[in-house]
Formats: sequence, structure tokens, C-alpha cells
Amino acid sequence: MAVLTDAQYSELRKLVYRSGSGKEELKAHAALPSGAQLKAAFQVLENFWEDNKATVKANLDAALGFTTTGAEAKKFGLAFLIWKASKGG
Amino acid sequence: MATIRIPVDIVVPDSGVPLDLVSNQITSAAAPSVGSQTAYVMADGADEGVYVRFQIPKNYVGSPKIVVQGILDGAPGAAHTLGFGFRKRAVANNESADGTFDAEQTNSATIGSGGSNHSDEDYFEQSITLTAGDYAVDDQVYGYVFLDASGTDYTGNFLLTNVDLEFADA
Repeated sequence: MAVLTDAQYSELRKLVYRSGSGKEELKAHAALPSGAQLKAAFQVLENFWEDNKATVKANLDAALGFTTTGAEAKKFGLAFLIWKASKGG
Repeated sequence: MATIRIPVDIVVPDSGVPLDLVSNQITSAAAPSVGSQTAYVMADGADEGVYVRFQIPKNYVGSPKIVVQGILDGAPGAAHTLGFGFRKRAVANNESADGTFDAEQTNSATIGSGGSNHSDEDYFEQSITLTAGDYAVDDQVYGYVFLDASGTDYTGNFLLTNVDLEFADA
């Protein structure tokens, strides 16, 4: 299981903690989480992704009736995430 | 002998450190307010900062410090720390300006209720003690001021507004 590096954590953190993107929700708490806690939260998502992406691809291939390449499967996944985010998640 | 502070020029930020209006980062009071100021938005995770330059003044004697100043964006936890670092190359006239900056000098402090008890949107400043012998009158100093990820577990943004050189005069 890949452990997020500090540089990767920094990139993820900036996506969440910026105006209009989740900062106000985090700031509403009495205190922010620590860096270790925030990095651990992102690691949860990274682990979920790594644990399930092979299964999702297999199910995607079954639904399509052919074996997708890695690049094809990623495009399906990315399109779905973008669409889901645009609908409020 | 007096303690003096002079502002240093912030020349260029790292690519991940945008310059923004404070009002875009915090819910500021109605104008005129600090919301109309600009700040460099710095975050934890990996070292990042701004490049600076300044000249050592004629009345410099010693006790140099870099004073990082800005606004906290987010409430720190009781034990959360915030740290900064400074690297530089100080050169006299006729001395090569090109060269990798010296090793970092850093400082870190607990900023929540277990330390300085800072709160969300507080003005914050932190001093980094420098090596007096590294600097001489009229030296041109090219430097890098950065949020030190190894000394920081505060996850709010730090809105850097200015950097000063502090020193003791004659």
C-alpha cells in the first residue's frame, strides 16, 4: 500500500483547504486537525482507492463486454468523479 | 544600542505560494479592513516560501534575526506548532553572488492554547535567530524564507504579509 509522501499530502491539502473548496467547513470546527491527522485522513482515501480499483475495473470490463486498458478505465473513473462532484457528491 | 527592524523585499514566491487578497482567504470585516491587504498563502506539508533580498545597513552591529509576519487562517489545536526557516547567501562587493544558499536556520513554536495561545485570524510573528558573523555592513543578502514543514503541524494557511530584518545597532 503506497504511503502518501509529504509532497503528495501538501498537494491534497491545498485542494481541500482553499476558499470554496472545503476550507470553511474545516474552519467551522473548534480547532483544525493536526498535520498528522489530516495526512492520515488522506491516506484513508488513498488506501480505499488502491484496495478497490482492481475490482472496479473488473466490474467495468464485465459491464462493457471487453477488457479496457488502464488508461481507458481511468477515463471512465475520472469522468464519473467529475460528474458526481458537479452534482454535489 | 537599540534593536531595529527594517523590511526586506519579497521578490518572488514558490509556485505553490500564491499572492492573494486577504479578503479572498478569510471572512474579513467590512472595508476598509485587513481584507484589502495582500498576502502570500503558505501551507504545511512540504517546505515552501518566498525569495527575499536586503542589504545590511551601515548601523548594523549584530544580533540579526529574520522576523516572519502574517495572519493565521484557521484555529490551531492546543499543541499545534508552526515553524519557519531561512537560507541565504550574503555577499560583499566583488564577491560572487552565485552559489547555493547556506544551510537552513529555523524556529518552531507551539501556537495553540498550550503555547502562545493564538487564535484564528490572529496576527502572528516569529523570529529566526541568525548567525551574526555571517553578515557584514553593506553585504547584499539573497535569501529564502519558508514555512518549515518539519516544525509545523498546524494545518491552517499562513498568510504571509511581510518579513523584517531585526538587528542591534551601534
